[in-house]
Amino acid sequence: MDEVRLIAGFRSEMPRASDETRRQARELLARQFEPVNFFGLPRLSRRSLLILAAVALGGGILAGSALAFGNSLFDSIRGKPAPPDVRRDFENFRSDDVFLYDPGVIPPRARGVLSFQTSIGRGTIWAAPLRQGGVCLWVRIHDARTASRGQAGGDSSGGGCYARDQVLGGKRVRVVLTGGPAPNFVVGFAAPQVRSVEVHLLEGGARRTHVYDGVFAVGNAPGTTATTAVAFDAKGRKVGSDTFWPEPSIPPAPVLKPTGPFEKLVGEQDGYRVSASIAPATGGGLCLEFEQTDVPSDSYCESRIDVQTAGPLQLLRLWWGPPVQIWRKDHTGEPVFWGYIFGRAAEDVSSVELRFEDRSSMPVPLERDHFFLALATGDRARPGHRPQVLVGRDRAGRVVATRRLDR
Amino acid sequence: MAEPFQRERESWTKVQSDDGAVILESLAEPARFGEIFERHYDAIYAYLARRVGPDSGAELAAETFSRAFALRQRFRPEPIPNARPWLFGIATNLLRHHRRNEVRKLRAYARTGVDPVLDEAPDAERRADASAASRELARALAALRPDERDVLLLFSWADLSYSEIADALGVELGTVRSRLSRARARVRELLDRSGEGVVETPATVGGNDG
Repeated sequence: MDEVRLIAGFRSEMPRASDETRRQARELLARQFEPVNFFGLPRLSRRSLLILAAVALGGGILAGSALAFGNSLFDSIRGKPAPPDVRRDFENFRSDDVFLYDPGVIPPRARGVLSFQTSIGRGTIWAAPLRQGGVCLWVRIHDARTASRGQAGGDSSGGGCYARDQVLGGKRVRVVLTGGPAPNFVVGFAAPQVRSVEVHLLEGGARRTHVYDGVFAVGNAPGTTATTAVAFDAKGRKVGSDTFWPEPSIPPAPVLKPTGPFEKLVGEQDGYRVSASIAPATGGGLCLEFEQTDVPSDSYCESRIDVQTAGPLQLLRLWWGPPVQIWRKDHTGEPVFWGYIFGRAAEDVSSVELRFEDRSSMPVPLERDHFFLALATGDRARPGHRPQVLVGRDRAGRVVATRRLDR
Repeated sequence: MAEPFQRERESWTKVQSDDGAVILESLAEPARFGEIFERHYDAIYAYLARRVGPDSGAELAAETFSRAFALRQRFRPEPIPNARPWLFGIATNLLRHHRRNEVRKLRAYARTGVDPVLDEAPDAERRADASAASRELARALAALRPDERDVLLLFSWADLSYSEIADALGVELGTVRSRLSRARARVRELLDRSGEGVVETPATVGGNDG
């Protein structure tokens, strides 16, 4: 027998994919055909819930319009003090486990907000203030099904941090966290005059819930898709809404194509290459191509890249997360060794450098007014070598812009 | 002796010649990509399941199509309009994170005679009394360099031609030839050494399109 024939027969008894396996794979793919939520990510599975914290922090470093909450989101929350294990969860926010840098959370002041029912068990929302005047939410969902079988480890948790001025952005209601398919839930903030919120489902129907201390949460049936939160005041009048999942009647965005050559911005460290290329796109958009040494390339074009910060050094959102994506684990729970800083510089900025906590610095590649840098994170990052501030200089070498990254 | 899957490969290419058109259309109409899934899922799953087991294989197969969908703008229908090599290339990339696991299972099979990969499959015809040749083959596959094992198994299990393997892995045709040649020689050598040697036939000497 020749070796090719022998190999061809090796494990040839492997059965075909079951109908269920095939169905699950098809559903996973089909979910990508749908529009994405406002995080810029597909709806998040239970396993990926933790990543919400990182995604939402990207929102946490935004600068936005003033809002009805006044100076502190946290002051409106009056629940009981959080137990030690919850405070430890908030400690993890600053322990480098979720974020590269400390978002400024104050765990000892953590309080309870509300609890709500989901299809798998009771969810509880806790809040802790941020030093700069914002709040972090931490959602814990106790899996009653596994608990009843005497199993541990089925609980889910995740959350996000929100800067003082950014959460509502002038709206009366805004959804900030979603989970799905199970536990399937929606968490959001509402302005002081909002007493109840109705969450509408794509499949039809709605669930109404009270607003507690400016926060609301609704558990939905597994597999359903929440689309819109509608806010009502004490007299039952509709005072605002937040559509966070596009209705199917909204036509899909036009397919954009690059209209010029790609310019490459390269970051390399320890022999590991990560690069982004940019090109102008039809309709004034931007195309991005992204390559990593041992990961398949990725690319996309967008009509509008979300601007996360104002000013001469704007941080931009890459398609899978916030502008400064420095996570220790990705959405599959696998370690992530690289973070990315991507943004747009004003015309008068001719060079950009990144300064680290340990006072070292490095140049940031700048092309067509866009800068991009890949950074080693987690265990690969040197102690104290966390990115702290971007500095933009004009042609004469004068500092014309700075952008802090650690707040 | 002609290899039996050679004819199937040719007809497959004809049937699938419009993959490129479907992928192009899916840029405007994403759901069209479902056709690519329907055409190729079984082959991708079968390959991955044989390499790392049905559970990891199912996960990786789903991930392969998700990645492919996200990367579809990069698919180039020339010179090979068939998406199959491209999909196997993505699948092979994803397998890189499972190499240690794959080798561990191959070695376990060689050691115990029970294949952990087939053992995971509920409906597999398990062979507790695995042949000595199969156990030695598992040992030989585990001993190959990862890039050689990729080429050998893409050739033997995925039924890709030399040029399709080159396309899948993004390497030169000559690299495919040399890796495959080295891999086959190494397997032969290890099987010979174990006393489970193979008889060299004309069919094992040449390639398919090379």
